[in-house]
Amino acid sequence: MAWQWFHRWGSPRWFYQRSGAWLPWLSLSAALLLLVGTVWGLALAPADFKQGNSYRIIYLHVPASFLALAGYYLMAIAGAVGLIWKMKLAYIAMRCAATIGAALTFVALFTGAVWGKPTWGTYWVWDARITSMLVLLFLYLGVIALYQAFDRQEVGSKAAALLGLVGTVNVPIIYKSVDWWYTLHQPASLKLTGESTLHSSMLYPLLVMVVGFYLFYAVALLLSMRAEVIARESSSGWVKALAAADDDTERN
Amino acid sequence: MTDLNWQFESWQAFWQMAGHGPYVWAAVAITALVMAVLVLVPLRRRKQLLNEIRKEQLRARRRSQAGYSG
Repeated sequence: MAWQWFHRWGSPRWFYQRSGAWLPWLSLSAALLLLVGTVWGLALAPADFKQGNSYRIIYLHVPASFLALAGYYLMAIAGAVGLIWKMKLAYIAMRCAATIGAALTFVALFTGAVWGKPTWGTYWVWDARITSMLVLLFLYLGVIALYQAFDRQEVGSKAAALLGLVGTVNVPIIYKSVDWWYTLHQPASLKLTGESTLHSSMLYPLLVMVVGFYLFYAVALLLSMRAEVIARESSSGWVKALAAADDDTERN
Repeated sequence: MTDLNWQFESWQAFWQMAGHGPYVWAAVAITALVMAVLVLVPLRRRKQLLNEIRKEQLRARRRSQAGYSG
């Protein structure tokens, strides 16, 4: 009985139908929060007394970095579930999370670079935080490459999942890098425990953006998993019926 | 709670951000571009895949009809 939900989660068809029902609500709330957070952060929040307006990049840089890291855990866990229970849908989640994670890591590095120029006077420096984020990007790209490197999909999925699991050691290093090697990157201004060092007028829009990015991540992951499910299940009956029934392909 | 005030005197000032405009807007542009791609590419891919499957079904139906008549 308790295992029933688990098996249903493993069913691509069930996933496809459920995610189709969730997506409109997820997309709407993600778009709303991102819009509010962007206007609030860029135009309504006060300028930083030391950095001026360049600090406004924080409203993109911090949420993108959060999701680049949280997405790595999600990808590694999905890979582990695939390895242990041989669940096809878990490997699909891993593969899709790898692309989104790589894209968000790139965003984190890019926004960091254009923030660094007016603040530190340089786009790039081999600081511990920045270097470990670059390693994260290569881990994501490595997972994508391994997934595609083998003729047999099963071998590629397993190899990619193993690399993903080994790479998780990098994530706590990234978190701790600003405390262990205090070089150039500033320490975290948002903390789960204890006072944040940001004033509330700057903190609230940042929290809105972080939640908005989490919802966006869910939307992006579901959309790409749905496409991957169709690609992998193209010869199964329910996908054929779906294609035949759905003239505009807009519905589920 | 904090007061919410428009921080810039004009659109011009908002665009320039006291000299930091190029950095801030470059960050905004690249982030928005990447996010748009992450949404639009899978949407298009799913649509194309379903279209291909449907075309294949139509081809198969036409083949079987041609088989009966000729």
